[in-house]
Amino acid sequence: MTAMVFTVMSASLLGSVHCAGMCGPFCGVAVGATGGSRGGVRLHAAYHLGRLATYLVMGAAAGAVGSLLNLASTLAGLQPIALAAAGGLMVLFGLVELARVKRVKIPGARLRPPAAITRLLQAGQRYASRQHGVPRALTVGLLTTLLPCGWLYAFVVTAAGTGGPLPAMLVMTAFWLGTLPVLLTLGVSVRRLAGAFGQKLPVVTALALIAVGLVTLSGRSSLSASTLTTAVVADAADSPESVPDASELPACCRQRLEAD
Amino acid sequence: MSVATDKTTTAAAELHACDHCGLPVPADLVDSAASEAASEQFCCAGCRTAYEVIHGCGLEEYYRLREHTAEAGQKATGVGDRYAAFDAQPFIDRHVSQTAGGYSVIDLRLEGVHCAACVWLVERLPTLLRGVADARLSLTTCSVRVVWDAGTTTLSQIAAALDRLGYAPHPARDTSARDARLATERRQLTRMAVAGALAGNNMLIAIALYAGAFEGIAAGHATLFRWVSMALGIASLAWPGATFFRGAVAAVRSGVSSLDQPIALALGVGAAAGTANVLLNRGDVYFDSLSVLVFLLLVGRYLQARQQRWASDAVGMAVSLTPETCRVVRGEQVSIEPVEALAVGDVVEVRSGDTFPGDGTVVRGSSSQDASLLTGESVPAPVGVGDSVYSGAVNIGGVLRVAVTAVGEHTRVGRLQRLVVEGLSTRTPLVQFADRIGRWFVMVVAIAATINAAAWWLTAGVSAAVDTTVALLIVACPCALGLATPLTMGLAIGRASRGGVLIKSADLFERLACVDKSNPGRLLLDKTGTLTRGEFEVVEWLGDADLITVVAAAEAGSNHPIAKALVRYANDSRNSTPADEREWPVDLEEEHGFGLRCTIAGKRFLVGSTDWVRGQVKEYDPALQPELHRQGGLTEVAVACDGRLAALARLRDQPHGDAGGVIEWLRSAGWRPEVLSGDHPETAVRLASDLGIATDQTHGGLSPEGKLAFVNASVSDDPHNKKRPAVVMVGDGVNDAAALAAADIGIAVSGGAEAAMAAADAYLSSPGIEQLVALVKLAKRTLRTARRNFALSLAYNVVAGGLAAAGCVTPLVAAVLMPLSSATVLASAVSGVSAWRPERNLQD
Repeated sequence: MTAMVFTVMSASLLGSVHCAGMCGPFCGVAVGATGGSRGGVRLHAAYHLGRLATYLVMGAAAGAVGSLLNLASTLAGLQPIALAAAGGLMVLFGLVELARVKRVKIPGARLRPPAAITRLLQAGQRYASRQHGVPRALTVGLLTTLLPCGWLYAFVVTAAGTGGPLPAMLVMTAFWLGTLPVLLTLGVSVRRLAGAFGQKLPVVTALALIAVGLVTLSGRSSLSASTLTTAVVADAADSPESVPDASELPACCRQRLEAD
Repeated sequence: MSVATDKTTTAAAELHACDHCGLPVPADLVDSAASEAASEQFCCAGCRTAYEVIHGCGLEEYYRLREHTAEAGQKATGVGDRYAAFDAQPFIDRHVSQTAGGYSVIDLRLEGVHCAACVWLVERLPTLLRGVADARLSLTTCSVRVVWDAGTTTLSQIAAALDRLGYAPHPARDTSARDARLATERRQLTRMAVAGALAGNNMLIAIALYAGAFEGIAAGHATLFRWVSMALGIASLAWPGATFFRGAVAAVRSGVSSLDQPIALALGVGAAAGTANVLLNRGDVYFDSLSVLVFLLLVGRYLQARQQRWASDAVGMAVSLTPETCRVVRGEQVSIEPVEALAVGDVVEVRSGDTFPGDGTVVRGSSSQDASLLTGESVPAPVGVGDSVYSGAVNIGGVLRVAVTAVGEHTRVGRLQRLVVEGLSTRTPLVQFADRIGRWFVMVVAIAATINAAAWWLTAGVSAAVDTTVALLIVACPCALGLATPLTMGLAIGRASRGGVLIKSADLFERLACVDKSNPGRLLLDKTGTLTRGEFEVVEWLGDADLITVVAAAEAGSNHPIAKALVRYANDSRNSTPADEREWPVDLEEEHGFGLRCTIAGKRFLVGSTDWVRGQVKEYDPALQPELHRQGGLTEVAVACDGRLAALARLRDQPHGDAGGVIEWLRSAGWRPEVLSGDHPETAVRLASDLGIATDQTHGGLSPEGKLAFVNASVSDDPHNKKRPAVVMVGDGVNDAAALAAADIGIAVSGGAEAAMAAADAYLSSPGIEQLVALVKLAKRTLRTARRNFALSLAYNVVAGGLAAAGCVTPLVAAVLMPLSSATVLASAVSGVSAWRPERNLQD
């Protein structure tokens, strides 16, 4: 779990240039208008905590889906499948992204998010613009998750892979933490930050996705060790003859006792 | 998911940037139809939605704003509006001036300037903001002089950029350095007090916890204490400790490295580890150490600021050229106040022997003022009601009351001081080198800390990794490194100005010190007033001895050095009439530069240069005939009476006390002295040989233009040869100004500081060249001290860093070591420079 949280945070940090570009204007609306550093801190806190809140809701939901998936697969006589599925999906996302950079035609490029989302967001933003200060920052922060952002949803999938609401929320918190530094220091213009990677940025984010996917998959293998133990215990219950009797000395010691 | 593998065969589509976030659009997502129509391109569906939302809400302004700020390299985050007033025309009219090159100039007083690192940061402004040509920060006055192109950027943007760096700007004219300094100091003290209280409480909790660990403590109590410790620790990081984070963030935003970054990183690492331990209820809490650390760091920083302020005050010539206190007339009372508090319009009382605290007009009393420092005029001028007096001049005589018309930087001496202070900020090669090292230093430290943390984590666990890394980051603070060189230079300049040597540029030290036997320099010396006193002495009187009295009477009213010498000779001579019994001349007319005519007791006299007199007489005293062509390197005056040349006086200009010894010393130090003189070549050669300078190194009969040409020829000897010997010109600040300016180093020895500092790099206030020895010694000493300090601080950082990485230094010890290191450098600089004495001392 630690490794996964760490990887998610690093990947999020790496890709947060994207967040700055995409959410920058909304963040600007939330925290920009009023001056003063004291007020600035409160607005930043409201916006980012608003974001965190909806991320956590998303994470909890995704974790629930993941745990349902695990339950279903176990009922179907399979091993828990969520982690493997999530890891696989992440790697796939990464590969698709890479392929797109390399001009490989992949269906879905022209896919548009439903207009309803856009309308909902617009309504939300208009509502926010009527508010002032902290309420506005909070509203904008809460709305953030509605943006159909592939980057965010990739991590929601990872969160689902953990197979439980709490660990899923932990993953989303790690993602949120990773986005903080860049969004807090919006003083650095996105273009300058992107300059560090140049035109390679899409490749970098794609590779980060693949890395997260691989770590998720490796987490599955370590988890499967524990499922293996459960399996062993279950097997033991079926064949009592293979389980040593605790009241008897092991054979080796018995021999020594007899020799004495 | 099926993957179509047919690659697009269209010509390489140019790279598109997402219209919303500005990032590159993956090639496959480039909307070719839109591309042709130059329409929107998006990197993902999310950006498209965001774009639509923004347009739907009428927030398009954002994109325009983004383009604008991307150009400026910065995104305005709220502070922009605060400085909108800076762009108002009345503000600009009042505070901004224009340079000859069409740039605008303003002096801004900055809050929060505390150490040499601030100078790095603020002077990086031209690279941060397009259109800013130059930014020079003075630690002494906490003021920055910004030069910018009004067509490219605005003053409000500059102010906002400075604010973002953590230095809130105010127009310098409205805020005194004292106010800014006091405000900063008050904040520092408050922070220290809060940090101290939090640290104290946290230590008490730590003692309870440690005691509990040995004596036994209920688990619930231990947990409670740990949480309280965390709360106190976070409070001390969030309030007093926030200054480090703010500094670090400001530097990150500006894309530069700063001294706060390693410290902020260290505090952050410690806090993260501590929080994790408290939440998981395991291991050390760290927050007790962190609170104490914040306290110690703040104390250290405060002490550093005090030290540096003290050091830079020592640089300020205000200390040496103007008084620190003055007597201000407040109603009926006369109170003694610091000169900083003096304002235009105040009336001050200046007693005999006092220095005027500001420029002003006399409103009561009469006296004389000695303004020799400014004007070079050694005779005090009488002043009465309505006359102007100048800051830095000395009142000789009665008590004056003066209405102040200008104070501080706006006085004549203030402008002079400005020259010196600006010279201090010139980036000498040594300072540039230190700067470069400093810039890399933070990065090297960050890398070393990462490696250190990883190594310790793998071998000894988290706790040891946190401890050593925090210690390493704190101990490696390059304050001492950044401080060492500028501090030494500054101290040397301050010390010199107190010893009567004004230095305009710190470059001078490096250029003077590089001359030694293996790398000789050329020393061009003006004769009159430099090598000699400009005071003549009659060595020979030929002809009618009775004429001495007549000549003395004729010359009595003249200020010319030769006239004075003749009068003195007459007064000392036994066969002349006492001064009060002489007959006074009538019809006296002086022909400037040649001589004078007058009538005494009915006889017509001519006194002047031999050639001039000979051109107007027909007869010669036969005894003098053979003498006329034997000048012998002396200055000659002829006296004619009623058309007959009757007497000759030969005078010698006296060399300064020990000019010979000084020349000898300088030669042994690797200098090749040469004499440039406006006098007759023979006169020049005679004096030079007295001083041990060879004839072929003596160039007489040079007009000021001739001297300039000579210096130019010496300087441009061989433009391709970088090892050309340094050319130093020593001369009169007024007459030789052009030659002084043309030389590599111009040193003025007379003519008043005000004029001299315009052309020369240094001004020696005591006559003669004796202070030249002291100056050369100071240069050598300064360079030696600067190098030693640099080595010292580098060694400190390497050794202490190594010890910290080895785990021998705890974070608390590191926090004590850090101010200690800059104190060491300061002590080393002070001891190195202050051993210098302005008096010449040829022996050591």
